[in-house]
Amino acid sequence: MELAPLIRGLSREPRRPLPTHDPAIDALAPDTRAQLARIWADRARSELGAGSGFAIVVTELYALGADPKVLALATRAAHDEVKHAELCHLLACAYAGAHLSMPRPKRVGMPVHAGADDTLRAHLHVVGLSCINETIAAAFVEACLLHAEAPLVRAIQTEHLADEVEHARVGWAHLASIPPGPPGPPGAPRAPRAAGAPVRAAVAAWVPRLIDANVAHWRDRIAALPAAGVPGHAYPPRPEMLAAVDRAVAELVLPGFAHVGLAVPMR
Amino acid sequence: MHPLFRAIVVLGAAVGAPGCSCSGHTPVGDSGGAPGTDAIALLDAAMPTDAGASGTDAVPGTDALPGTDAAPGNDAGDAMVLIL
Repeated sequence: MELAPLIRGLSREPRRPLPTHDPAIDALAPDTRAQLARIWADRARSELGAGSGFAIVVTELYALGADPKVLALATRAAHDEVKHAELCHLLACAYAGAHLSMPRPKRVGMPVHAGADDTLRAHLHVVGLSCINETIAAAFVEACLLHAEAPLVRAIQTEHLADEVEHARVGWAHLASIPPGPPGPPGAPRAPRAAGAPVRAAVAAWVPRLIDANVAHWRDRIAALPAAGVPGHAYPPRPEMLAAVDRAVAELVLPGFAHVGLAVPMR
Repeated sequence: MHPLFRAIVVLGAAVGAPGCSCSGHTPVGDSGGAPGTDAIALLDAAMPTDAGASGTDAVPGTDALPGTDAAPGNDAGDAMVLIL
């Protein structure tokens, strides 16, 4: 399988050049290669969905009058996810040993969060997608990277990790940009009008259920991955993946909310 | 503390803090570091060390409890978990 044309066709260059050949993939048993091809093809589809989710969040951040730095990071994240989809597709092709079709993009559905008004719902989408999901994703990819020895897989997972960290920053930057005090005066140019202590409290009240819902999804997805993992190919044994998610919640997400001054109720 | 806490939370919050000039994005990098740390080292390197306050002195109110009648967890759409 000639990977160079796929690499040249990426919509954005990775931070570092990618290898055009991976002997560790060639050396795998055919059934393992087929299994990994299916997994990475599914991830390509998921990454396009993440791009759609970030695109929706970008428009919501505009509606909130978010900080321009947050808008810039979020907009870049939407583009990054397209790159991620292409990189996952590249891996799927490498494992399959054949050129596969890219999944078709679609608009994803965002959580309704019944009971929240439009403003709160927009904040919750940022928090759910970025502070929680992308933060867990970064920790998950880090755990996978510890088991990535195949050169192409390792290079792509490293690129993913660097991007996931930035995607998670979107949410933490957004929360930090909301002033801790009462709402600003009418006519204020951006977020302060809609921000302040009430928004922080309203968001905090929803955080436990956002975390629970998010972790449940991660557990479901991990349950579909190989139980013993795929040594060297960025899939650790399942208990290790689950532990990475739990640790991310305990040591990143919950302390993160405390760091930006949100008093999250006990779960 | 989780090894990613500073890279994600501390530096992310710093990006959103008033007066911070950092962007939160690292365009290019290279490192031969250990798995999982090299990419983060690159990101750290792009952030100013005086990135500013992160909002830790905020004391949010506790009396606003919107939407508590929504069934927890049943409205998480596709975009909630999309990375695996």
